[in-house]
Amino acid sequence: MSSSQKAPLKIAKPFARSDGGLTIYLMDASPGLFGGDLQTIICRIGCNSSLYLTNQSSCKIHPSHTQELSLQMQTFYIENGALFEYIPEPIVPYEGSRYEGATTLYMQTGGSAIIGEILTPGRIGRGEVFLFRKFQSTFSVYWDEQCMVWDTLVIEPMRISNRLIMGTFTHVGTLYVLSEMMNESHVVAIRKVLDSIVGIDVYAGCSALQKNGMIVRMLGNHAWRLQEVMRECHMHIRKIIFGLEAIDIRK
Amino acid sequence: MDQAMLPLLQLADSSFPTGAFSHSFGLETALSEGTITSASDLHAWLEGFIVGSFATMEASAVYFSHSLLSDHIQDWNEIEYIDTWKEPITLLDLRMTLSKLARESRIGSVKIGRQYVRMGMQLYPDAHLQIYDQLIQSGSCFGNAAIAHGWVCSYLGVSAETAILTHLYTSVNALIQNAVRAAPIGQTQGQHILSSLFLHMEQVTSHTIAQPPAFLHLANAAILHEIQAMRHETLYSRLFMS
Repeated sequence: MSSSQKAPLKIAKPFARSDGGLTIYLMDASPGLFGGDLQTIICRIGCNSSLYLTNQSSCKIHPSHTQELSLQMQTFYIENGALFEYIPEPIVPYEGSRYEGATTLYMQTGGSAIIGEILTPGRIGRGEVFLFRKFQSTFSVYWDEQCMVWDTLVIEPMRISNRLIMGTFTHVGTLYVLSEMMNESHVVAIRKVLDSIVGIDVYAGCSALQKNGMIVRMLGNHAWRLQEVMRECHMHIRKIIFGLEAIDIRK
Repeated sequence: MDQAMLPLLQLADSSFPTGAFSHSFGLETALSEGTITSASDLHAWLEGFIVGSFATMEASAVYFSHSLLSDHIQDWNEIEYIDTWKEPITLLDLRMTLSKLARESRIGSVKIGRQYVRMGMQLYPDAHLQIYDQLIQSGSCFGNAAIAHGWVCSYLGVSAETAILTHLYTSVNALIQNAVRAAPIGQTQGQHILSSLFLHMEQVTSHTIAQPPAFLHLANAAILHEIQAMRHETLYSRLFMS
């Protein structure tokens, strides 16, 4: 493994897992992203290697007096036979903040990835609910340089009422699974998982992507609950598609 | 007299055979799961769809397609420099299609788009929709009704504003007609809802014209509608294909 970093981001010492993969925690020594900040994460997962990437705590998005955007660019290259799992902690946009994020995956034939994202409406405990200005997250996947997934989620609470687009829910979660091994039976299996653990507090759906993948999208009212549902789906996918046991990531 | 009025009425008519009336894009799930039980619920659902999805996706696609062709074609009898606008059309088509994350919505949108292109080629052979059709046949494009509509409107000399507005009207009207067919919402109520949404359609259109988003910056916000569209795949009883 080779790595380089620039403060305030730090790559913690990796952990080798019993299943042969590596687990890496990204640490952020700053209080989060401020307006005008740009955070860049680039990672290449080489042939036949396996990486579980996560971070220590939620990504806090602060406002800026200059109305500048907080930018986050994440680019991942997944080579043949590699498995990349990236489940960061939820994003918490503070009052008045503006966020634009782009996550791009370049998949080589034979590569696989499981990516999760959870958006909260703000610091609910202090009554900060949908007071951010803009949240925009673009997720795209290129299979052998051909764009096959293009998902841009944009939430601007001052322009569009959250009730109209999210109903009574406040949190959004998305899990993307990308693999040539994926087929319709896996979508059916994940629907069963969702049916078994989702109550009235989570509203979820899943569907096959245009090529080599599936998306699970969910709405809820608590980050921990969406994390729980996401984890169940994730671990089930690990087992039925990749034949891997569930792993526990300690935090 | 506005030369394009009758062609526009024809394109926006519910009998124009694009197949849009076979798709609910998640509305049937909302009706079936009991999220929509009244006319006001339906109104709110459609409002969410208009501001969360149509405004940012469909309206932008009509606008971009219309302006790309209007900017590059001075004379429809002499089409030149195809390459300068073929590439952005291809990218627009790709993103419009892939952005529909529910499989049935994606397939439905492509079917409607291709049917629109076929009809457009027959009615307006000089509009050069053959170019779009060839891109679809060769696998470079999927086919999208918003793009085809912007294209035909550009050919007809219709303004971008009218092009967007007619596309919004057609899409919303199709959904309302489907709700009338699928649920205990009467035709009269349906018409009331449609006319009460005119203001939203006009606002979305004016906003798109006044502040066109950066090219290809399409975005979706209708999360609830999208999940409903995904859940339609396993709905117990289905009247519609999506």
